[in-house]
Amino acid sequence: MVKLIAIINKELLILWRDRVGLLILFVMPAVLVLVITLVQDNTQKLMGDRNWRICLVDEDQSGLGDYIADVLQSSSRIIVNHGNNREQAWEEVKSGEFQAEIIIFKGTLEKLRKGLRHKSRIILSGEKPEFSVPIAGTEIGILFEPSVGGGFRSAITGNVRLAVMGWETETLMREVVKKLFELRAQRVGEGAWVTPGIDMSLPDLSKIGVPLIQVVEQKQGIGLLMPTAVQQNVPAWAMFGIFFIVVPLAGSLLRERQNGTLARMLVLPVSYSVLLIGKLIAFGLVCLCQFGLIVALGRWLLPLMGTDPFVFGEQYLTISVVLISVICAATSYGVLLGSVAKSYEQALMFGPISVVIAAAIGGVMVPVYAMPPLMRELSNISPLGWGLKGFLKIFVQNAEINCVLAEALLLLGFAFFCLGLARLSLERQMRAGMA
Amino acid sequence: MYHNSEIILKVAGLTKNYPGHTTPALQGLDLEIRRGEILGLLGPNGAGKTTAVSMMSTLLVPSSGSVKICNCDTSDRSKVRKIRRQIGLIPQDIALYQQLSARENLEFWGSLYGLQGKEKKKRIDFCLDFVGLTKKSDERTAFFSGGMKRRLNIAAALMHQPLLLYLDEPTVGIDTQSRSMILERLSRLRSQGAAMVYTTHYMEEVEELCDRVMILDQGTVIADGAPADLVRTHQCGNLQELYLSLTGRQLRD
Repeated sequence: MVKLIAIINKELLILWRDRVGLLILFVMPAVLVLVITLVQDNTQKLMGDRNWRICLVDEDQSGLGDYIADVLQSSSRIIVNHGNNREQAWEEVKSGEFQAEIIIFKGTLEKLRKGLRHKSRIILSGEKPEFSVPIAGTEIGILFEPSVGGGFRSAITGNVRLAVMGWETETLMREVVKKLFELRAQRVGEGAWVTPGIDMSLPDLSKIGVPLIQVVEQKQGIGLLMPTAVQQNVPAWAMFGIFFIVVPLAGSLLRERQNGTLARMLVLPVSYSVLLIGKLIAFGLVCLCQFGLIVALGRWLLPLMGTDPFVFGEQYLTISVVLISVICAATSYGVLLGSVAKSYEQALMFGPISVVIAAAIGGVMVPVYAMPPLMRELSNISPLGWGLKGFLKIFVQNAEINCVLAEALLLLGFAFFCLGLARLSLERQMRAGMA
Repeated sequence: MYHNSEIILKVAGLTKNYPGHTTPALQGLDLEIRRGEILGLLGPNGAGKTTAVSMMSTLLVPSSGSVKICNCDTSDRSKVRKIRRQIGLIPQDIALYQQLSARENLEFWGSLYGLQGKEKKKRIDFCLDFVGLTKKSDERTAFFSGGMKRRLNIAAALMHQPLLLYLDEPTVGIDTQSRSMILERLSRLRSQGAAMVYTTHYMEEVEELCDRVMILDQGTVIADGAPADLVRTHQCGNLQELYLSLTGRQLRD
């Protein structure tokens, strides 16, 4: 333990005295989180100028689907495709193939008919409507791809609502007219040409009440995370900063390899694992400080600049699990880089560039939901993508620990993979007399 | 007091074949070093000196042969830590942390050798004084001169009072004063019973310091004995002449 503390103390002391390194580790992600969040906060609100594809899932097959499709397609910028089932359609929305999914649930027509019969009775009887709310469970759901702007959402929802109302009114009118003719036939059969008590003029539409079918924008399901700019950028850039630990960490290992310190350490009565663990803990503590700083900026500084405050939530254990996994992955990658790079310059070039690429793929710079389909698939191979997904599940969906286990395991697996490769590299160098 | 008959290091048939190389870097090295004895290991670049030191200091696993330190075989993994407590390695490079002060460097290395509290502080003070750096103890190593860094490099290997020291060209690139001090301090350590394996390209250092000299070339020993005896036997004027006559004058890159 004394040896471990000595190593941690030494590493922290060296880092503390490396002011430029600290600047990279703390100031860079802090500036990035401020700038990117402020930029995206506005950009997200302005998005929306493109052609739109909508997937319509008509589970009821009652004709309403075709009616809605016709109404929507009357706009030249909207293309409606019919989907087989809502899960598949949602997958296609998530992949970016469609911008929205409209679901007409099974039984809609049946429920509607019941409501219409009731309404037509009211209209014909002149009674006050008994209900002014829609029939429970009769609704049409709309799911939007998160990158879809507010204007488009309103337009689509409005158009669907209009189509539904038109269809509902048309159906209602048919029902009322049918009832009228039935009544008239009944009266004529009874020998009365004009039956007193029956108003043969057009029905009073004010008695129809609110539409029976509601058009409801539904919440996104698990699998697609739609954070605000703040909830997206604070964990994203904090993680980006954490991964930048590879630069000083790899540099520290390379210096030790190159100046004989590693050789001196390898003949100490201390296992190399202890030396490495000490190093990982020291750099891990720095990563924790980075995370704390970025979260604090998101919580207290960003709101002063007009954004929402970062909401940390209460899933402390879950956050700890993801955070520790991210730190393990980042520091282990630094160890790998420091072990395989042949020079400090090599590590200095490759380290940051690889982190920037992994960050871009992983959705740090542009949220995954706003990426094209291919890039969304690629985001699944980025450790930064795993970390970000884990964080977003917590900070957007308030997910519990079991929901982020997959991401944590992937990150830890990546960490073990890096450490394993680093060990192999070191052994190879030792066999070759280079360490 | 110590018995100078006590064998500290015993090497038998030490051989190293590096992967991808057709000829061994070191072949069949045999040697013994007793307490208070300094062995000078000479040879041109690529002769196998560093490979020999690396294997003798447990850094490198031999292809064949054995290394025994204080009667413990280095191939016995259960005894490696015990063996490592007895050895000190002074690499050719300045194996120190430039951002730390002299004292902080010694604190770090001392801690890794298991020193704590007053004992550690006592050893730090002793080592700083031993290499003449007490007044500079709180200055960062980065601001030290080459000679000061070399002296601190030695001090770091002395923290745990090793019985056996491996010194790989410890006086490269320093001024005459620092070199003189280092040689004087090493002589003092010898008188206290430390055994040393000393590699260098400076023949006058070997003549001044070493009890025995071993000249390596292309992985094999080509001369072994006391410097004066070797010079006399080979009828040379001095060690430098002997060395060049044995290893040739052609450049070794």
